[in-house]
Amino acid sequence: MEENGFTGLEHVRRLLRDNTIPKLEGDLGENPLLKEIHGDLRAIRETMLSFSAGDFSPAIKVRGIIPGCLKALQAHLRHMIWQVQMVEKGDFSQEIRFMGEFSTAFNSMVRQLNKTLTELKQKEETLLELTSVLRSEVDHRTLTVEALQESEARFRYLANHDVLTGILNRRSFMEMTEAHLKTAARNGINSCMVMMDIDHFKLFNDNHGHAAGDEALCHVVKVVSDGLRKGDFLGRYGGEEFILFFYNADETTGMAIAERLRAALEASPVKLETGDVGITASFGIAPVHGDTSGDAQALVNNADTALYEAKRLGRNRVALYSPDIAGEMSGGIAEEQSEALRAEA
Amino acid sequence: MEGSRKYKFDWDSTVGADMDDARPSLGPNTRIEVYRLFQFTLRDILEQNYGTEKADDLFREAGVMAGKAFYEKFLSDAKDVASLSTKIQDSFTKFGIGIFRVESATGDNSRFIFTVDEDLDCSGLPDTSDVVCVYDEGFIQGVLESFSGRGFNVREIDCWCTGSRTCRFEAKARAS
Repeated sequence: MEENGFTGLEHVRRLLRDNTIPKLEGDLGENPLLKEIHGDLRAIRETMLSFSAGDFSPAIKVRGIIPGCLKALQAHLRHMIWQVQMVEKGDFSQEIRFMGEFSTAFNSMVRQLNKTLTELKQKEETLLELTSVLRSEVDHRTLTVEALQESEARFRYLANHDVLTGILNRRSFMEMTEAHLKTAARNGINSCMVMMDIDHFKLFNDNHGHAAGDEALCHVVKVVSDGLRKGDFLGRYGGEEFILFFYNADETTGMAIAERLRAALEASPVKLETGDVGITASFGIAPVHGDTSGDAQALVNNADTALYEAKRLGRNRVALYSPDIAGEMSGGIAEEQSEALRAEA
Repeated sequence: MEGSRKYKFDWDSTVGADMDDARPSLGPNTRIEVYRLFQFTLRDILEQNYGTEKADDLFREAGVMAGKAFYEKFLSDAKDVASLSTKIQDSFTKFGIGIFRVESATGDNSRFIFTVDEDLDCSGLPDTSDVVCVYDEGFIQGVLESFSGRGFNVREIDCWCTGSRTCRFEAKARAS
């Protein structure tokens, strides 16, 4: 019996110390008290093994001070898990109490977390505000730049175009002509410079007023522009005088184009409120051959000479420049006649 | 019965509103022994007159009433389970009822495990193999029902008197 008692105590010690649970064998298995102790210690060991592995879920079914303490510990730990879950969801009011140093550390951590997140949120709000201000500033500047670009484009347009008719003004026409003449000379291409003058325009203005005169100028520009080929261009030389450049056109082609424009004008009266008014124009053509490098101003002068030849011959016609006409203009036809023609153009 | 009742509960008329006036010398506190003396003698008489089960039912029912009254007076501004838990914890500590904790809660708030350490009713009592905190069961039920508007069944699953060193309660929402 004493030996059994010693063996029983030895079994309990092994239950407390060994890595594996000893078997309750022989006479020991018949002892009900030892069986109860074996069962309790086994349950306690299993619970503590679970706890040490981080699993706090097992139900503790044995009773007494040690299992009771384990249950209290289990309740604490599970409550802490729940609190951490609450903190994770953003509830920073969670505080752990009655857990000594751990409570202090946990509560301090939650407070710090709350403070940091609040500061981050404030910084984020400040950044959002700044972003909004910057965005407004960028939008404002973009609008200003666009307005400036628009304004610049408008000024550029005004600097290069005739305000009334929208076609090139004399300066930009001459620049473009110079460029085309260079290209033409480089590639051996024939071109024609053409001066066009609306016949009896002064009379038109006197009869119908200057507003109608402006309307007539716009009408002429529209009819002539519609009749130009792709690559030809038109500018306003001044008053009722227009200047045209036919690129890649020899004198025959140039004459044909000018004649077509003349005919179109003759067939298109100006539509005024008071009724349709017929209008015609005279054309002077100065051809430039591809094997020569033409001087724009000289060509204009030649075309002008041809134009006055057209006027002299009765208007509403096309005249081709030739040195003979130039000779007549400088020698045969009096300067006064030229002036008179210009005045009543 | 309603017209002739003597003990219909009301915070002001049955508990008293001003303890400073009522007990200027002794103050609002008393000893746990006195509370338990009152509670367990009442249980004793109820059990003798109506049997154990009925005595427990009556105690639980009183707990539900108390829980609802407590909620209305101290907890009614809780917005969610977390803030309700904090408020219960604070008020239980303040009044010395116990150390209340939420051990787990399902996402839809239909099942909870609560623990109460150092419980007013049972902490330190001998191990009798019986859970005794039926009043607490009713109390928690009353609080939860007032808070959620749903019916709850609350049962104590561990008690000091069953050898545990904490009281643990499981609350389940009743199927509507």
